[in-house]
Amino acid sequence: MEWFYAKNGKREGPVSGATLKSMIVSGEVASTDLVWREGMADWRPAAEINDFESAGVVEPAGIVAPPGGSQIPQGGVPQPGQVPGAPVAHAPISNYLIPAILVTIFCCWPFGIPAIVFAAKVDGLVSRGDIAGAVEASRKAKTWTWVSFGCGLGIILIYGVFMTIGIGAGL
Amino acid sequence: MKQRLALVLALGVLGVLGLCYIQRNDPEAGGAYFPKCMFREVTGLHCAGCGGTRATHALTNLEPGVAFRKNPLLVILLPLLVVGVVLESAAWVIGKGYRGPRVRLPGQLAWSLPGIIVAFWILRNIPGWPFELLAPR
Repeated sequence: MEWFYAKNGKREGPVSGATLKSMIVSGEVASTDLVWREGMADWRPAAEINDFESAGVVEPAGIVAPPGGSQIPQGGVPQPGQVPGAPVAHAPISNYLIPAILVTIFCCWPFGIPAIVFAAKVDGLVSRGDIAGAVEASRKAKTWTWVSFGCGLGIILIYGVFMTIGIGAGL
Repeated sequence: MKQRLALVLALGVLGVLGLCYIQRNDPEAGGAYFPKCMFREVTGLHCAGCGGTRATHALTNLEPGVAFRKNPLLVILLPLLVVGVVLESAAWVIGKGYRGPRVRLPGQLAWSLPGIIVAFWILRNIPGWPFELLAPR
């Protein structure tokens, strides 16, 4: 199971689950750093991952049994570049474009604009290979979308309460 | 996945009920309750979505010309938004097994969409011709 992790805005790896675990124990990878392996829908903070070693998903072409089928212990440190020609794998990153446009138009609130700006950046960053940047832009787009949605909903609710009070006072 | 499907279906039913309400009640006639645009209430200016409810009322009554006068940007974006909402909802419900198209914005176009929306937002508040054509009429 090969893991990638994001460190200082750069994607690092791949490393084995055991290695990543020891890096987290040693503090080299913080529990808040984002990690990802093939099969995960999104990057997640390391603290949220309980199981670094199960192979619950389809293996990428990288894991090839050594000749003779025997496991050669490598001290848990994989060789970088041991998978020549393997495609650079990354999880699909949600761009939140549609939700960002919807909250901007329907909540009538300027907080939707930063949501659209960050959402619009996601795919360009992915195509340039800046996965950590794309994850960050995706996260910000999500946050601003919810801020805009919350403000729109909250203000409509407050307005409804005032209208009800106004109608009550008018009677 | 079941929960997500249930949520999407529930929102879809709410949306259809909302459209029926908008179709039957003219926002400009008064009488029916429609939430006001808070941006307009606070600033007195039109936001990018202002005229959207009236445009939807016109569209559901098969009056695209009227709808276009109320909010031209919304009418132009609407087909894209409908397709986008369907695709993204399907992707969200199905999860990682989803193989259909997603809504993607190439890097070169990254500033176009926020640019168009912000420009529309600003321009429709400028008094006089031709900008007043962008404000709800």
